Amino acid sequence: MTEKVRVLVADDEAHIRQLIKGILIAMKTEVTAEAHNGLVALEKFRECQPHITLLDINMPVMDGLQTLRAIQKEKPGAMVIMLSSLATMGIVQDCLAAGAYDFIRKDTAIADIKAIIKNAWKHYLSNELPKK
Amino acid sequence: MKYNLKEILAEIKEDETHVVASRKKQISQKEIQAMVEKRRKKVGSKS
Repeated sequence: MTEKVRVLVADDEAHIRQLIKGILIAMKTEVTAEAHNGLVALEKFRECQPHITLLDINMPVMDGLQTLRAIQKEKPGAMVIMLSSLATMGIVQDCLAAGAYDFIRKDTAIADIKAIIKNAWKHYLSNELPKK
Repeated sequence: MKYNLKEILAEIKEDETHVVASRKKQISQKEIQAMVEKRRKKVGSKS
């Protein structure tokens, strides 16, 4: 694996972005861009074309679910992992139906967060490489 | 067989209440992963 994983992190809370960035850097991924709301996330997504996007659900201006739908409309199958402090069955169902690859509760153990991101990257590679 | 519309409506309402309540239920990361896996299998079997 020579290519570095490019990740976009969108969360309105700076300390959460910092925490996620720390995890991603430890995994030797490249945090290509950060966003503090959904609209900025969508702009950064267009600009940076990340491999993986981590989207918080509760964000101002445009929430995570709206942003996910907009991203999937522009790039169907884009690898998006949702983040949330609280997870109800309804919101998880809505996100998966809108095309989210996975869903992470923010209180999840760091090792499990890493495993979910690694799994997403593996899935991305298995889908992308045969096309090249 | 006689149908009691009141009873049928009450049953439907009870089902709806159950669906709404289960959608609002907080779930653990383990339960999320189970939902994700189920969804992937469903999508995979369609493609």
